[in-house]
Amino acid sequence: MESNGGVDESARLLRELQSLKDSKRDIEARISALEAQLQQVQSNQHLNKKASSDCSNGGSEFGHGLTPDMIYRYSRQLLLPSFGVQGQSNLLKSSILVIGAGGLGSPALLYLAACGVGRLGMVDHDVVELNNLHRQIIHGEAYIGRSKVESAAAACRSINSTIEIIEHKEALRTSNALAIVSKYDIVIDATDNAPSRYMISDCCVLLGKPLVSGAALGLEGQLAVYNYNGGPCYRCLFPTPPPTTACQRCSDSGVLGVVPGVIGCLQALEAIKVASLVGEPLSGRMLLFDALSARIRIVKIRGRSSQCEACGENPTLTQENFQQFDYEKFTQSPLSPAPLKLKLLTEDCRISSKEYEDVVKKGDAHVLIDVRPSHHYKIVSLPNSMNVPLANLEDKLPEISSALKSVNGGQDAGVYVVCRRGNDSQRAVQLLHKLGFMSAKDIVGGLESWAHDVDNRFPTY
Amino acid sequence: MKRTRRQYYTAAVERLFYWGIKRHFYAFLLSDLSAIAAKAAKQKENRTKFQLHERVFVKITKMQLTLEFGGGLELLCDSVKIHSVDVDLPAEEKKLTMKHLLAWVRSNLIKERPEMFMKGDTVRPGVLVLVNDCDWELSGQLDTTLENKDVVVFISTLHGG
Ligand SMILES: [Zn+2]
Repeated sequence: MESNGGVDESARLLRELQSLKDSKRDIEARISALEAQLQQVQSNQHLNKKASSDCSNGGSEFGHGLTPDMIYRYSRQLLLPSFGVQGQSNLLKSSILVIGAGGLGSPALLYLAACGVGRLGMVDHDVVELNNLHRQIIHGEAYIGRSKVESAAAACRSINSTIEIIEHKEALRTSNALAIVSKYDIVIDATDNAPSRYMISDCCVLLGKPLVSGAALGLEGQLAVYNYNGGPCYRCLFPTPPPTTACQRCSDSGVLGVVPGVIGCLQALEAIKVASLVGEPLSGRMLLFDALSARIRIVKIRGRSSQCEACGENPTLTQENFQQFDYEKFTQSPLSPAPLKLKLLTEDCRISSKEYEDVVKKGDAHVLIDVRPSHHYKIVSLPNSMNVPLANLEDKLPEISSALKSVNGGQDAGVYVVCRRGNDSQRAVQLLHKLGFMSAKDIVGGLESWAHDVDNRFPTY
Repeated sequence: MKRTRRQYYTAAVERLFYWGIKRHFYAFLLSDLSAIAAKAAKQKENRTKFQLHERVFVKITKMQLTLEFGGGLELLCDSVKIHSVDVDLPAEEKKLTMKHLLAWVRSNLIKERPEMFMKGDTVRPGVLVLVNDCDWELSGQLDTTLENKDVVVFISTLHGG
């Protein structure tokens, strides 16, 4: 009875917490909307005031609208014959939206703020985490746990307080994308997933905005300008989304911090060129960056496709069906990078990390197989585990058999399988069952749950 | 290696050719213009024949290509990004097309998960194919004819950031 009461009580508390969190989120959304409105109103007033004061004394006397402060601040760009006053003045009149304040967005935002883009918007719903800092250089330790947009906006303001900075502390969705993107001249796609890339490209086609698209993973990066001056859109190039298994994420495959940094800088550069009407943007071409071999290759890509569903001759894309379109379903992958949680096994083939702790404490004879790739295993592993990467599992069966024999003569010894998050371990157990190790069980939630539920000092990555 | 040899041959022929002109300049002092023109034309013809001969020779045996894999596709071929390969021409064919090459790559270079490289007889969605730094969409996709020493790049589109 008593324990039942405890369960009820915790369920009640959880419900109350959830409802409070929900209303907190609603209130925060309303606050940020109002803040954005206020900023808009204030900046309009500011611009009006500036326009009238420019007429009376400042800009007009030099004939280009740059104030003495601006001339001094941007002097090194004004000195460039191919950029000069005209380029700077175009830049100051332009507005750029950066979607994603992560590895690509960080340097892009810093350079765009510094170089004097008139209005700089940023969209992100995420918070800063410690494992972001190696590449998301706009954020500092003090902002861990806080909104990425807040952090990025503060950094941009500290570099250049004279430009207008607009915070969109929300995820870009089909419901808000048209409204947000329509306020800007140029869009930078600095997101990290396939559905966002299709959604942003479609949105830019609908609104006629040039799109500077960058991507980075591991030690490679890619860059292109889409929907610019009759050039192709993202869908012209990739009409069909790739299979989910081909969409790797930085959180799984890793990324060297400076690689998205390089691509993000190039994104800022292309956006500056488009905004200032200087140079030859990377449209109809694609830049491929291979950091490991220090190779940059610029290739010619197809032009706008007449068959394209977004920008072709008979497009199926309209503003109405854009708002209805399910990009997650289209690409078979989620917009926000929540880690995959498979459920391939029945409960009796699985144990929790706490139950495994009991197995260890009781000293039950068992073999623990860690099926992560060996470079993961080298980061951290549980004591007395043997590393057999999933890909080699079938070839390494004899080793598992002999390990089993060495504990308790193989009699009644358990076989437990662990991985990082508990997906590969299920695949491995399925395979082991097929190969005759019927007692194999996986540890639910992998090493992450071990760190969360059993040993708080166990490192996560 | 081969390229150097070809360059050497071309340079040698060119040297011979210009040396010939120089000789003809002196000959011009002694003889008439039409004879010189005829001789020069013959030499030029020889030069073309020589080059043509070399090209035909390479074509009928096999095609030397550089294949590059990127954006994660290299993981399907032992994590090797650049492959210098000799591809035999398909029997009864005078040319090598991308369609043949894809089949060849699939059976000779791809070591695992071929479905991550191909779908049907073409590459899977999300893979860009570049022939000499140019989207194969511009050269006829599967029908693109390859030449000796062409560079073909297969690159998977990235989404990370
Ligand atoms: Zn298109």
